[in-house]
Amino acid sequence: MVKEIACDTSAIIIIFSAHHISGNKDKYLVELKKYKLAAPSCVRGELRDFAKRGDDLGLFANESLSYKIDFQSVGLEDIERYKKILGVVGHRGITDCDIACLSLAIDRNIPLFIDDFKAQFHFSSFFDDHEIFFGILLVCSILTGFMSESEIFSFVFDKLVPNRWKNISLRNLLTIKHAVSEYLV
Amino acid sequence: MDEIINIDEDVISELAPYLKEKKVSRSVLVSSILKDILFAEKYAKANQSYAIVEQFLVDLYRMGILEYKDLLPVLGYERALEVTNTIRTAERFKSWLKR
Repeated sequence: MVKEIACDTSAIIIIFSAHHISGNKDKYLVELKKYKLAAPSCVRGELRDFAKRGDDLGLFANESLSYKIDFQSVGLEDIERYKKILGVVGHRGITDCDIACLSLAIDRNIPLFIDDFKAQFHFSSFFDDHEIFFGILLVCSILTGFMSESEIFSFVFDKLVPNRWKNISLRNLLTIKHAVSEYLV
Repeated sequence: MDEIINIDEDVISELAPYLKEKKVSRSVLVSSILKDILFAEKYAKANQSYAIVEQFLVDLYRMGILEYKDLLPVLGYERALEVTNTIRTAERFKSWLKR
């Protein structure tokens, strides 16, 4: 059964970073097709901006734009409504587009994948009954289709994390390590 | 030839009932500690000592040996909330996948 999920820009970037460097694009795509990706239209705009860059992230964003993602419009009134609930108006680095992702996921009752760890923490503390996950966990589940647990762990920390986050903070690195370790148990 | 790991028998006999009560095997505990040290050595060179401490505390929390309140004195309120949220998120993700 195909599972429908909502993704923010960071989650889509990590999904396609892993696709690009996994070493087995065909098997990766077979596993990825078990999910139907949805995102608000603003994510497409952010991916197009990334795609203009000449670096690896631009390349991954470009690949994601040629993949079938169901981009949906989210009304401004919905974004304002969630902003009021969350109490985030221009701080904590949470953008209107992040909130549009949350709105889409809640309105369609589908899980949200987001790799902005602060936003994930903030959203899940307000909407504890809703499923709000890390994009890197989705990548791990895709990789289990053709890699062993130890291969996934090495791939994530030797290749994926250094490619995706050039100067990752220790805090975020350890957050990823705790999540991946718990997933792979 | 690989070195055989010997652990002090007195320590093991004292630790065994406690670990049994928590349903944690000695192998899992020792493996976790070694993995944490290796991870800090390979990926967290900027602050290895902190990386080892946080990983060890979180591993003990995941095993049920420590509770949330036990994380507070070292990790502080904000980080303790973050790491416990992270573990819960991964657990919920696994449950969601099975559905």
